[in-house]
Amino acid sequence: MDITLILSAVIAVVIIIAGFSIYNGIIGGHNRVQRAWSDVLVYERQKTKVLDQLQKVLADFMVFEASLLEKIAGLRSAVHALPAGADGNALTKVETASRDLMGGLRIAFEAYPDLKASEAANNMMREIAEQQENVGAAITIYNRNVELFNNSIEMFPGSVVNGLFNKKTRVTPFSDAEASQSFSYTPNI
Amino acid sequence: MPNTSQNARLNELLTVSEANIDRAESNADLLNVIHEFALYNGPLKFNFTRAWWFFGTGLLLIAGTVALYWFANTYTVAAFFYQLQIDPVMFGMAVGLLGIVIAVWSLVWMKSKSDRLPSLSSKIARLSSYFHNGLTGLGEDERVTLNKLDAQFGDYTRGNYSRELVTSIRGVFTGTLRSLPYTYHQLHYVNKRKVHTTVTDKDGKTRTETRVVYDHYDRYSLVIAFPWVTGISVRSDDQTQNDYSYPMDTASPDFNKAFCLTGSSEMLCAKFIKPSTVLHLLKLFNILHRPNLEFSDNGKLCLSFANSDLLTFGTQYSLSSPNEFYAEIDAGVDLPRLMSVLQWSHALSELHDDNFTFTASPPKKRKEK
Repeated sequence: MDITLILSAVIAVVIIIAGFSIYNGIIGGHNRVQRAWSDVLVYERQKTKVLDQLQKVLADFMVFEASLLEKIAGLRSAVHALPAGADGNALTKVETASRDLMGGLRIAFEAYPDLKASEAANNMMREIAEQQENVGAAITIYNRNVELFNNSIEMFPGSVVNGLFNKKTRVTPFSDAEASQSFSYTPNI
Repeated sequence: MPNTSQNARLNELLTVSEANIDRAESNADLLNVIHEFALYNGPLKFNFTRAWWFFGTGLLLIAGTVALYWFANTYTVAAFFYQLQIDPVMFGMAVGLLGIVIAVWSLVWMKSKSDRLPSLSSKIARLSSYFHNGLTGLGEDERVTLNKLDAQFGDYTRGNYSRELVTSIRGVFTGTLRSLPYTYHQLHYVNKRKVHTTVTDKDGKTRTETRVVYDHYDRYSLVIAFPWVTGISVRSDDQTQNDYSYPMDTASPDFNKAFCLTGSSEMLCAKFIKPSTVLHLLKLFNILHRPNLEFSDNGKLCLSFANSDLLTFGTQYSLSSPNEFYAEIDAGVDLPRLMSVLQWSHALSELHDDNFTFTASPPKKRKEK
């Protein structure tokens, strides 16, 4: 058999295998982004469950500040409005509402000495802070996945395979600078 | 003679101090020893004048031997030895050997004497770091300790030839929220393997030779009371004995690349591996090399790693400047690397404790893996 023909066949097989591998890599990357986004949603919604208990604690201490209750309601509705599909921009409203609520809670703690001295209220604050920490970490992991996925569809040869077959579009990472500054963790990359 | 007197006095001070340090039970005992050095009237170093003379004599004898062999064939030298009825070759050899012995002995003596003060200083600083950080020995046979550790963790099952606990000490870390009792262990283990090599003999024939090679390793670990997580293993090396039945990967590609996470159930894995825990575990690589975490069923965490410098301390002074050394030991010697690992562990406990119950739950009945 002609050596050129064999060589062409080998090259074609290698290109096809590489193409399949890149195609599957893009699909896997997209699924990982979706999974990371789901984690963000899970921990944001977990936070709203803590808010229910927080409202009860505030009621126990006769804290009926209208602005604080509005902030709780605002955060809850912002979390419920989050889309199922990965979208970093959608998080901006939630994170702003979270910051507002934490600020309002700190003011309430100063204004109500009984609340500040209460072990139950302090435990609740610790729980909220921990939930917020988990949300921050989940967003960090999400952003890392988005970076890897965007690289895979924008860099050669992934860009060619994606343009011909996958047709995936760039995913938006969460990039609220103010919110990012308040996170305790940064990705170890 | 002043020379002998100076060395004898310093030697006596060092001998008494070494004995006192061996009996020391507190930082005050160490300070008393350093105080004796501060009161010592004289230079805190040995006088090596005589030793250098001995060394020079040795060199001269060696040089004389060389000269003797050089001029042995000349008439005058040969006639001299002939008259004395001494074999010049044997005489030269004896003198040369005597010169080598004197030179080497004087160097060894100077080295041994000059090492005593730094060695004692290091011992004092080491003990001070133990006293300052509340570290004490376990006070039980190392084989008993190893058996206990084996019953709880898979990480100590290393070495196909031999293994032993070289160091075992205990302490308590006081964090912002709670105190964490811990023990530190150094495991030395040996792997035995056969190496086959092909050799060619003088006839050009090849044959395979087998020889046994013993590879020596050390693994370091902290066993920390950690009742908040059970039945989980997170490892970054090849120690598969740590693994539980259910593997799980996370949403973080960095974590999946760095660690292998397994648990005694998928639910336990899912509850453990919160996003904040993922990032916290990744931060561990900044302070430890090849870390493994194993949460036993009886509420203990075995954090093992390859770093040998966890008990490293940095003292600026030594007994050669006793007043400054006294102040340094009085202030207490820190163990910064140990503290950073314990602070990391404390932060991990904060991520996994119950925010509404601060008391640690009582240890559950241990189950063998």
